[in-house]
Amino acid sequence: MWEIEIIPDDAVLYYRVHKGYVVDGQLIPGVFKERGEGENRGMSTDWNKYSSTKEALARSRNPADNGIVSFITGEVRDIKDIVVEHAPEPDNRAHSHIKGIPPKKPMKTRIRRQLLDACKWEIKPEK
Amino acid sequence: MNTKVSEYKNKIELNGKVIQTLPDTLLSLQKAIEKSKYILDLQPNWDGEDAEAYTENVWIKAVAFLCEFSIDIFDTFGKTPVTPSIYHGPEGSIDILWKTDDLNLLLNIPKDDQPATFSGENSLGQEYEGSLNTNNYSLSFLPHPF
Repeated sequence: MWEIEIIPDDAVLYYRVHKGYVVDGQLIPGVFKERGEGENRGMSTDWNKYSSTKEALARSRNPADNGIVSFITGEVRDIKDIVVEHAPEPDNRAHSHIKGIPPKKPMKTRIRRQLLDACKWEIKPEK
Repeated sequence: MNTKVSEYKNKIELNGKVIQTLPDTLLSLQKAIEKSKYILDLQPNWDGEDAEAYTENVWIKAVAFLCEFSIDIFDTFGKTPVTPSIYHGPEGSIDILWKTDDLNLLLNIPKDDQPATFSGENSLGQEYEGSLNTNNYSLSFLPHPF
């Protein structure tokens, strides 16, 4: 298993985006959600130290239906209540979590809005 | 759903039923609402991960609130609110996003009876977040999108 590392603030995180979250070419705030349970719950991203955008896209269930947006780690950490952790998986050393999106309440709405502002397109999904 | 329907000439309809009406000053809002009907066409698993479809009830709740809120803003302040974008949100909810150089406000309308939630900031660096009952709210406690 891979060693868990500290992700520096200038690192880039890649997040897969299904084309269903793109409306008129715009990413929508509903795209940001945590998956998984317990310690493994979080928003799955890939760290650019160990993954390219194309490799991150290739990990999608259906790459043709997905795109990639990126975050600067430090900008994500600037969002109150959010943490970024390296969470390598046996077949994906780049795997990292953005954690802290609550299930409901105003905080979830705030964090989704701030994540939308913090990300930028790397690969847009094909129409 | 107990919604007050205003009596303006521009009707917003769903399946032949009038959901709300809007004055001419809010015609761009009517266009945004008509555009948002795409949400009702989303089929289960629209995201490839078993996402649920959206009910007419949540769309009507969002549209009814948005119209009433916008009319209230115009009647109270004499200003036409910024036209928002209306999107499908998490877990069957609806997101309403007002975004300009001066304003960034996201309002989420849940599919159930839970309060709506909002979060915003303006170009002066002021931030706000909170929750509201879409059927009974006070304009003075809400951010004003203009």
